[in-house]
Amino acid sequence: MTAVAPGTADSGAGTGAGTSEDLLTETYQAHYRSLLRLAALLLDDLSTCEDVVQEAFIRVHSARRRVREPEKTLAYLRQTVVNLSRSTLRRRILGLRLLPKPMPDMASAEEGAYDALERDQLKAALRSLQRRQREVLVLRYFVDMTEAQVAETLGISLGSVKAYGSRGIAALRVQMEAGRG
Amino acid sequence: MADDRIGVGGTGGPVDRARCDRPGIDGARLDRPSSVGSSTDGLNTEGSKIEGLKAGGLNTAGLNTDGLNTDEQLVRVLLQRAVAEVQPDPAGLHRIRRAVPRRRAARRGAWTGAAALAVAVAIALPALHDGDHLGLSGGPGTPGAHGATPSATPEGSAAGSDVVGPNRPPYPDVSAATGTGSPSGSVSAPPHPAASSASTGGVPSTPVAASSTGGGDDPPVPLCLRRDLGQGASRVGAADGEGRIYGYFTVVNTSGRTCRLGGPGSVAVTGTSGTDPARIRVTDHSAGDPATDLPAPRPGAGDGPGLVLAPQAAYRVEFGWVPDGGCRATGGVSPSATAGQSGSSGSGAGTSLAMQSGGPGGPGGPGGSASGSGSGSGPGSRAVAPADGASVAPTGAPPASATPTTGSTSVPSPSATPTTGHSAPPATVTIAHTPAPGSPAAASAVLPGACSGTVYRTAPQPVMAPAPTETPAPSVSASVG
Repeated sequence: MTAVAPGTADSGAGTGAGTSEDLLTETYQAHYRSLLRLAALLLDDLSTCEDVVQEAFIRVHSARRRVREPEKTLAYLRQTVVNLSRSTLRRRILGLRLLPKPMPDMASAEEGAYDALERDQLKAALRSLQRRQREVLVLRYFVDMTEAQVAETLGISLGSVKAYGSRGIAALRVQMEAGRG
Repeated sequence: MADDRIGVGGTGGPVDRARCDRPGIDGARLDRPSSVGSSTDGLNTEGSKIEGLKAGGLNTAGLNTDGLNTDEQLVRVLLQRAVAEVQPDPAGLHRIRRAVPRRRAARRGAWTGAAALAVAVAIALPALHDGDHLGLSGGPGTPGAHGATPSATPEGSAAGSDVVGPNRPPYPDVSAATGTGSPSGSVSAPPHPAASSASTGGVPSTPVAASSTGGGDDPPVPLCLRRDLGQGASRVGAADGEGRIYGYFTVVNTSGRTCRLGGPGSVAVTGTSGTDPARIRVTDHSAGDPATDLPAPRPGAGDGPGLVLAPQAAYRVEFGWVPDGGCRATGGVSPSATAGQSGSSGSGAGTSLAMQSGGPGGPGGPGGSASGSGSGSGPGSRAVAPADGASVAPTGAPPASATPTTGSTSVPSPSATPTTGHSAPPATVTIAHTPAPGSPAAASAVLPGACSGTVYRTAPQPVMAPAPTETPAPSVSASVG
């Protein structure tokens, strides 16, 4: 479980030297999984998540200027993932409303049915949240950003982050209760 | 979403806010999982599940729990657990690695394309702008442009005040194209030619104004057209003791309007007889040159605004012939010519005029012309014969006076004829004055006995009243014969 913990900024800080290929590999190994999970929380479709994260990697690494600042690479990647997820949702919003896509069930054998049910429940609750609330919750509690970082990443004020966070948690609780009840 | 907000505002809101304000207390609660269930009103069942999760292996001590209350911890665990099984596609790195250089190339290509586009636009825009002035886009543009063109063009030609006719049509074209529609284009186009001809800044008048020396100092007076200036006249005086011959051209503004002379015009050798045209030079008169009888050139006369000619006013271009004195060989016929001169003096009125102008003491000039007319059949006489010469073939006489109108450098029949009559070459030179607007020449003059020398000419000078001896008839232009 600790291996899948969200990568922190200092994990990619020491990779200043080296070619961009090595840097790409290092960044990939360090952050790809956590970014994919971040996207999975913001989106629903896993293949879309892969596309989004890969697109974020491609964008960030295509701009050499961004890669030359290793301490900011992860921030750029996260920001790009959030923006891409947002635009993906926006793009799909009509189609999703009309034709809800069934969640791909990624439950593995070692996970119990109970956990899978709970996971689906949480995801359903997350999807029912406002987009801003969802983003704040994911960034704040999954990526372990501070509120200031969340505000910077989402481009909103600190007060908005606090408001979205508290209301998001409350709404999530309501949703989970409703799903359980 | 709307019901979510209701839920937030109703039940969850106050509770959460209260907890967020006391993180320390919540952090203390975190160590006692039982308190999660007891403290939360709506999350009792969730609390038990959290315990289950933690018992299932989630290490709470390893989590970053600073400052998070129980709900936040719960959300954190739930979020991480929800995506714990999400594993990256193993082909992801490979795909990214292939796509990054491609994306870089695409970005470079996009930048290159944008730069190329910017360069192309920077080049093409001025070109298109100039094209509008040339009327390239005005023609097929709108129906209004087509409708305005025919209505504007007759107006410009009928007004008679347009400076350059053929250059006119593109200009109303553009003005009509820039107009809004066909009605406004056809209405606004007719006044335009008059306005542009009056202003020197107009596009059609630019070529004429550029060729003139005094361009835009006197805008209201239009430039003289060639048809404004009628047929000119010339006067050739008698040669003095050194063979110098003085004369002048007079050109009258025969139109009914005042016009401005665009330039000094040209004085050129149009025909020679018995001598080489290359030996005749035409230069502007300047102070100190051998043509001392010419009026002193006014300083800056050629640079100032052109001479303004009222209706029926005339201007005069004086010239002086100064022989080099080195052509005795061709002029050696003078002794025999003098004899012929006397004999042919009565052959025609024109030749009698020539006698008085040619005069005595001419180094062979009078002899040449006289012998030609005396022999009658001599081809050289045709070049200098007067129009009313009785003894000369009628077809031969007019070319002498008419040929100068064709051009300054082309030497028609007069130049060809001396070769046949080489025995008695009448060395004469025909010079013609062409006014500033252009050909045809207004008047020509024959310099008798000129075989090698220089013609000094002056700038146009106003003439108050034309001399009574001059009539603007072509026949007088050949008065020296």
